[in-house]
Amino acid sequence: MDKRLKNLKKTMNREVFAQLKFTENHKKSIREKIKQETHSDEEILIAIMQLLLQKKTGYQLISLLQSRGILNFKENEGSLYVILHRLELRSLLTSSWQEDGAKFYQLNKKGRKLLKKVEEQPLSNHLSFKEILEG
Amino acid sequence: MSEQRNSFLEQVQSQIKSKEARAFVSAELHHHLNEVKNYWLQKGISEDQAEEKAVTQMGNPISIGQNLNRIHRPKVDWMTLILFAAALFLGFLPLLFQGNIANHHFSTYKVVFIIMGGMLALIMMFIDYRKLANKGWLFYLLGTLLLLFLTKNFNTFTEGQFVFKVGPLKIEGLMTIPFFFLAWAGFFQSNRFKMWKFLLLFVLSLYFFLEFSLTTLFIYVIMTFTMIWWSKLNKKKIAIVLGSVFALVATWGVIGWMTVAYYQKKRLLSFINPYNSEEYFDLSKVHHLFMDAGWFGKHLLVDQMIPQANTNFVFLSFTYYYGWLFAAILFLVLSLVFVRIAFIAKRIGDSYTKLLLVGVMIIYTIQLVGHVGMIVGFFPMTNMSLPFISYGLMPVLLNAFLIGIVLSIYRRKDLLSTSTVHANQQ
Repeated sequence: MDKRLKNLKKTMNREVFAQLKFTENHKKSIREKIKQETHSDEEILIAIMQLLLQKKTGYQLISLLQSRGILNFKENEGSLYVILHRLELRSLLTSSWQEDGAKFYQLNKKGRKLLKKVEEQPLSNHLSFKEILEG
Repeated sequence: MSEQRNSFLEQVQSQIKSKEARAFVSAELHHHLNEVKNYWLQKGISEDQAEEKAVTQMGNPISIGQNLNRIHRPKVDWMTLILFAAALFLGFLPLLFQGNIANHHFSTYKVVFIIMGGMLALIMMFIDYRKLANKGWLFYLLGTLLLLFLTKNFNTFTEGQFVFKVGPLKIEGLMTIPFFFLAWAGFFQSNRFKMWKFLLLFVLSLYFFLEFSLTTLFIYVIMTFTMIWWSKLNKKKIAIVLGSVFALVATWGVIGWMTVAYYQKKRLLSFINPYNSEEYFDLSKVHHLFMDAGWFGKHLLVDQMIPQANTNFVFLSFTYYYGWLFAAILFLVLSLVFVRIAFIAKRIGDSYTKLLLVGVMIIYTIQLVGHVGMIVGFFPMTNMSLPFISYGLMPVLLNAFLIGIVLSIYRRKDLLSTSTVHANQQ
């Protein structure tokens, strides 16, 4: 085992890491990741649901989340659609397409009920929340 | 579309199995990319840079695609499939009590019928039923042509019915029900469908159906009159039209009653009040045998006592042999099929899908209630077959078709709210 892995580090340095540079961009993204961790998944989900009390597209939603200081979707905007589709699959959202190809989401009755419940007792409803977050 | 965007969308799509999901996910992300690009263009950077920024902001296409695939994976409705299989399996039981096991043809045919039924249901599951929505006219035409063919080309005439027989295969009027079912569902979901069109098409089809058995006619009329309530036609108009149809039939009945011959009256009376009739095998005998069975049955071969013991009276022979307890279990399994479909229908908003499920439920229920009701004693004598249990290819295929429609709907139920995207893209 030891023998086989002996040259790994050397080879990695030569082959892989030679092409990799630690740029300013990387530094920035790491800093941002650290900053982001101030928001828990539950908080983000509650924010999304609150914002979807009115009809919105994914794009509108992201800019509103960012203005609330939630930066989790920066450089990762696609993952918002994963959450939106999950909410839709659990029939917490209704969606409608418009002529120009925009898809609008809005919380329905079931979604509003869940939001109210979670807002009132933030810690009691983690189970259904976890399902949505983890798929 | 830039190359960068293309490759991003392709990478997302490559992770998604469902063809339908691929189309609308790509449309949605496309729109998002456009919005982000516009935002950057307004900030005054070049077209290329804006495009690049938009795509990099999206994140990792592979992981997005994988997560979306998990959400939009095509689903198999195991509940319905299990109930379907259980019902088909129970359909073998009547073979055991008829001494027909010796008759090899019979059980071989039954196995072949069931395999064909299962295959039909599975094939239907993979067909995208939404593509049938605008083909109402085609199905109407096919149904009418088949009816016409059967009235002109029948080669057997059994129990006052045209039947087209090829070897062991019997093609009956019942075969046309699926065509008219798809035709009406297609017509009724359209906003442009008018009442006068309905009346014209309905009367025309009715003219052909009158040539066939009362049972087929009954299923057809009830199916159409139920489905029309879920159509886009004005509810008041529907009520007026259906009301006048019933009034017309009633007057026709009264006038007819005063003019028909005595023996015809008697036949009709025995149909409505079967306990007074003098036919060879009437409902009073049915009722008697049914009550005789007891909880655990007689375990006697019944094909001497009961005519059509494996088709029109299968529930009776089943009860007589296995008893009330087993009959109740059989009825429960068959009813659960209905409950399951109703459960799926409840959560669906799309009008065409709803029409299909309503149609499926009503066709299924008429058969179940009609058959069991006749034997328990609150429904007139008919030759309604018990879904999945009665012997015969046509009834098995009809009900397998209905199950197939349900499976196809369940498979795509989460794509429903987004089905309009196809129209937008093309």
